[in-house]
Amino acid sequence: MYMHLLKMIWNRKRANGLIIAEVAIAFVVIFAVAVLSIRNYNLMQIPLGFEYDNMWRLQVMKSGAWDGSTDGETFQQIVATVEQLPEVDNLSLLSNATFRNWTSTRSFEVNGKFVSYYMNFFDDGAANNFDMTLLEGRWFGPQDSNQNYDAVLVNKTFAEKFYPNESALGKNIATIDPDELDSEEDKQIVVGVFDDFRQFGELFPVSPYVFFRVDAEQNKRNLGIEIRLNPNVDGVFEQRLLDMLGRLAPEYTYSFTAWENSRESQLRQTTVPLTIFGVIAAFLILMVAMGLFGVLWQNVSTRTHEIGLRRALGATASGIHRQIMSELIIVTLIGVLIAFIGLVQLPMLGVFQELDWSLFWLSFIAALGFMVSLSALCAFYPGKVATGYSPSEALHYE
Amino acid sequence: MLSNYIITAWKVFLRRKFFTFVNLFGISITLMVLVVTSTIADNYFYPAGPEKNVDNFRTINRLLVTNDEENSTSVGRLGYKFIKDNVFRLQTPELISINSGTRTRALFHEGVKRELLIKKTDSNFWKILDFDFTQGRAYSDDEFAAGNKVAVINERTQLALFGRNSALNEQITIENQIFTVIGVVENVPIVEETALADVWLPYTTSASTAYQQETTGGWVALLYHSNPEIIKDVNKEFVNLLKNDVQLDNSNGFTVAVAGAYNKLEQLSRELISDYKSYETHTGIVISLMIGLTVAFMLLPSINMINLNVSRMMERSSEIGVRRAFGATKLQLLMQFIVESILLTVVGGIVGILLSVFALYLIDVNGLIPHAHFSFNLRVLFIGLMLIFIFGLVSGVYPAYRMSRLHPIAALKGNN
Repeated sequence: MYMHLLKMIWNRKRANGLIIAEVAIAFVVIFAVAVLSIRNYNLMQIPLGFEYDNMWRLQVMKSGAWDGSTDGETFQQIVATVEQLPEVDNLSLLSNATFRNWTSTRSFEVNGKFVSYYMNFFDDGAANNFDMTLLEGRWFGPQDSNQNYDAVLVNKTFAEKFYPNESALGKNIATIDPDELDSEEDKQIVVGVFDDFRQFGELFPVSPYVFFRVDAEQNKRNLGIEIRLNPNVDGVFEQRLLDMLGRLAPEYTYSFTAWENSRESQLRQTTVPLTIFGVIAAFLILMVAMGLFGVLWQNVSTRTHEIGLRRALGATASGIHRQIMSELIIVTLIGVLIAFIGLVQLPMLGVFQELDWSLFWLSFIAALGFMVSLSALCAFYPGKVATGYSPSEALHYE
Repeated sequence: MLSNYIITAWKVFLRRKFFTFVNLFGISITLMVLVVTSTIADNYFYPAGPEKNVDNFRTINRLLVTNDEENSTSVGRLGYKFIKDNVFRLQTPELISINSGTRTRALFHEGVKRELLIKKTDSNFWKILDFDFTQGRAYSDDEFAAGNKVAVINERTQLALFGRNSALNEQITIENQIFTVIGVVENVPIVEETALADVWLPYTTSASTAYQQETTGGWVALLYHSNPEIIKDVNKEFVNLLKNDVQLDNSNGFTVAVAGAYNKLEQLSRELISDYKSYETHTGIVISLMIGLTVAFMLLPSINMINLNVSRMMERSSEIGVRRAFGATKLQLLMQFIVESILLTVVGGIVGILLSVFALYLIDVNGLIPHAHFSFNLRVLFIGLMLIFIFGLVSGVYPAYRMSRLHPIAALKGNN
């Protein structure tokens, strides 16, 4: 039966060739939509690892270079003053802001493979203030001051990637870099493993992440002042705060941003282009669906002879219907196969780091299901029309 | 002859309304996407706002500095000192402006917070760019040199802060300083990045002067000449200066500087390719990328249309047979079918252009893209018409060729 159908498809190879080409290109579009939606949906499901409610970042800015001694002094005063305010529940120092693409990374080659991790700096209270989850060990504390090592916290992904099957606690992460293996003075000892801190928001893949310690008392650097405000603080607080800072240290400028706002604008940067792409893809697919429908309808009406003959020889209406549907589905599968040969190169050659095999297969199956249902839908009505031909009418057709 | 073709085509379209609709839908949606994209691109390359004299100036907005070993590198906007020490030695430009990149600042007005884009400029900025003032004026050389606390705002800010009242001589507080509004300009479209801001202030009003010592920082330089032919060569002079005689602050050990004075296309390619280590702009790659994307996008609708048109051939085989039997040549038939498909594309194209005008209006009104303001012009209309023509030709030629080759007898019998 199927060999027979294939033969009939081959007999009309020129017309079917065009349909196959159309299906193949449309499949690539559907596959791209599937990959992007599944990837982003999966990423949205993973917890951020911190709470952003009522969190605000106060950033001190200076035109010109930051002078550790004089500016650092004023910075300490600003922190102390803000911490006293009744509206402030707690305050922490954090280097790279959340929901912004500000990164510090360290990358190097290990056994010919490129590895990297993200770095950030915060003070002793920050982990608790951000509501992060500790899995092993402890957070930073005063006992880490004046040691012959730098205390670091690593996330679960880091621990699993660099210390599989063993505990990361007490390890010197500087030695991951082969160039630093013998370095004794540059020890970076893991004191705790936390669940995660997805600094770049929900739509950024989970990556190895390391926190270094900032000693709040000794700090001279210009860090972000992260404040958790009392939930019932009104909007005028921001103006009062900035006015107060303007009087306290007028040589600087200040920005005061809610984490929630940064999160929204960062999400928008991804979702707006995705939505535009999605809308265009939807139109393309609709166009393809109507095209397939039209082509098939036309085909059926020109094949009245053939269908009449089959009916006269005893083929049932449902048999004819099945034939029309199977023909288009086989043509669709051939188109998908051609697209597959092209698409499978992407994970094989590792063109996109994030497109791994599980994402590839999941998206492929989703796109395949969609494409086959789409062509079945397009073939349904023309198939119905074909079963409507009575044998005598069909054989007499001119 | 042509009118006969058109009448036949019209009858054919009406006979099979569904096919005509599918074809028209495909053409108009495809064209809408292309026209909206090219309008945005056109507004970028040929600005309609303050950057409309785009041929008269070049922008230097990114600088890479590194040391001899290339192991310590910094990329960013230009430092003030770098501009003063190097850019100001250029002979070609008649005017040079220094202005800051835009920054978002909070402004409180009657208890309500507003986020505004602030740009700090010199007075040359207003001579180089062609702003349209609805009220007042720009700050003069003297006001700039004296560091007077004056501000120019855009209409959106005026409306938000002062409503319908005149904004002139009103006061606004930014970064703890009080500025007097002396001018209101029309809103700047988002694609005109060099001019874009909500509030423009003289940079001489900054509280600190520490920025004057920076090699890299937050600044942009504009180079202007009243003759577009002359300013064209400024990049050669600038690159030559950077290669042979660059003056860098050596406290960081930087000895090499890479930058360029670019027009719009060159700026775009630098940002996209981001190969900041080279003086090369890679405009060729970006142009081929744009053409490639357009072709890739048009591929699916074209194949769809070819498919539909080919499958309709059978329906008309007896018509073709009769015409062939009465002596119509293959060429005549080919012409007829091409005219038909171009006619259909023209109708779809007009619908598509109307749709894109509507889509652009929606983008403008809804604020889907903040600060968007896209004007539809004759150039885009011309591009649109070209695209329609190519589209009609591509989707019409192959089916027409197949149709015209039908053998008269076979066609009369209705066989394929």
